[in-house]
Amino acid sequence: MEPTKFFDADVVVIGTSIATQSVIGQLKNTDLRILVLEGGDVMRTDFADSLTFSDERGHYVNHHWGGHWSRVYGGASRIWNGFSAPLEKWDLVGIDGRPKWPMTIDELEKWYRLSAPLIGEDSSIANLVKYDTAKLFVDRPYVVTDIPLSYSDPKLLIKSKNIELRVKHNVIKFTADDSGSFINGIWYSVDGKVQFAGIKKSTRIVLGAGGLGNAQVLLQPADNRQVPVGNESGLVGKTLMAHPHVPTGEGFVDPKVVAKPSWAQVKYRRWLPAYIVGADYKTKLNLLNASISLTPAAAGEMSPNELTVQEFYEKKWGKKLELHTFFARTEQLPNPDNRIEIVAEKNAAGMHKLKIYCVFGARDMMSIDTTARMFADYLLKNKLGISTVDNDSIFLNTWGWAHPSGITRFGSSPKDSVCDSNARVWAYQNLYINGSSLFPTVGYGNPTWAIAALGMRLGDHLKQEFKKTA
Amino acid sequence: MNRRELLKLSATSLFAVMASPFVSAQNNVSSAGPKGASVAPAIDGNISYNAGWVVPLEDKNPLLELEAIKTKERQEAVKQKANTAANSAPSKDKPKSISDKFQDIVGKVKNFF
Repeated sequence: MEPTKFFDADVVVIGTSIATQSVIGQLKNTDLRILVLEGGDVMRTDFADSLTFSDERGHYVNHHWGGHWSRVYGGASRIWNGFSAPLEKWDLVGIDGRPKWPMTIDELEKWYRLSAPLIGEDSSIANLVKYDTAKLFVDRPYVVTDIPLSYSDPKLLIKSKNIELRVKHNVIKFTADDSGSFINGIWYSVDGKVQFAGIKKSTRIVLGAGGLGNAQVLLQPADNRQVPVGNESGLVGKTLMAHPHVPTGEGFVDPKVVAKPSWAQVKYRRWLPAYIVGADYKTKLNLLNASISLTPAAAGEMSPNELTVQEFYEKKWGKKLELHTFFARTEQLPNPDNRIEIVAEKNAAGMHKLKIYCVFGARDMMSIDTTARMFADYLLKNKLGISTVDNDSIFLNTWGWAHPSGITRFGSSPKDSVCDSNARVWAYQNLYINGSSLFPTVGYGNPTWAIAALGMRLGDHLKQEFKKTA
Repeated sequence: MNRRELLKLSATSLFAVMASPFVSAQNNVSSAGPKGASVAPAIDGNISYNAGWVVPLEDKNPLLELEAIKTKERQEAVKQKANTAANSAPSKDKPKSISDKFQDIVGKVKNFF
């Protein structure tokens, strides 16, 4: 289609969440003209909220996914904040057949350090990336973050003269040129009215429309070709992963267990005590990456059973024990059966809606149980605490939060990934992606910090690319 | 020989044919036995006591004894509290609300099923 108008910019950024603001941050003090398209408005609207409804199948249902990606200025980080924990080397290197990350932990650690302020934290929280992997259990706490105001106040973004923001611009899909190497147009809608704009070869596009939204754009059917633009790999939408969460039980623990860890020299503002199995043991025992966090149990009358256990072990070990709730946040393996597909029905913005399948596998569930049980044994053997492992809670009640990841993953080869190591879609010279959809594996922690780290890395890469061209 | 005996005989012969190579193979195994037999079975020293507490087996009985005492103490305390309340303020039969009555009916129906 011959465009009657162009999005005339050096970089067209789609989305305003931390996934794209981290990219923009690296480019804002340059001469590059940046056009930012946000599908939602400055505040949440019913129209924008309706766009993320999907047909949800499996263990995450009842508009669960829709609550974790949003069409509003600031994206999901506007709505959610909270726990962050970095990935580790073990998550990146392709353990037990998992796909590898196309970068080293040293590089990721560098970007974790630089991006910590983007989630309102001190750079020293990146000291948590590397730990003593030979330990059976490592006290690796969650950092409890407050996302800075920049993700809800657009004035802070458009203070830079080279940035133009257009809200209520929902990107539907891309078109490609005849050579199939460049994106040359964008179909989008404003208040449901579908429009088209051309893209010049020199323009770079950064797609950051959410963990599910990125894949939704790349799955929309093309008008003049069989394969949707961006899904030349055939892998878009596959290996959807999330983070199973569940209370695993309760326990009386020595206050030492929940004391602030000092091994990493971190300047914490707020933190949540949590333990993980050391990488060497995870490999040896064929476990998934899981964390057990501890929070003080709600005050209330204890049962005779609880009083018995507390009194018995306080007397036996000669120390005071405090009641805590144990909570698992865990890795989910990449499984091609867990996926998104598009359906015939369109949303109000003119995009085909999603059908989402996401089911926990036996290994996902067993790893939670095994880790909880190992932690109970570890506390007991070291006279640090006594705890329960609640079978029904783990196997019947494991659920979200969602953190949709993995459905436009990056890698080292176009045979098994959608994007290259710089997050560029393999088939196109000017289309880049950022978000948790890039993650080949998910680790156990909230993805926000890693998204920010990858965003800064992508922004830096684009800056270097433009320098070369100039 | 009737039909059933014939069938029985053929089944026995078939079993003998199937079992014979296995039996002869067994005869070739040295008296020392396979190496795998020396691996001790993994035994978890801890058990799940009562409401899922992971405890060493030797703590189970003292825990149960202590819990029996605690449970009795709790029951007596509840009973004593009820008695004290009954003595200090004689209970008046309050008229039942609609929801209470509905609960009664639902409860009865539930019990019936």
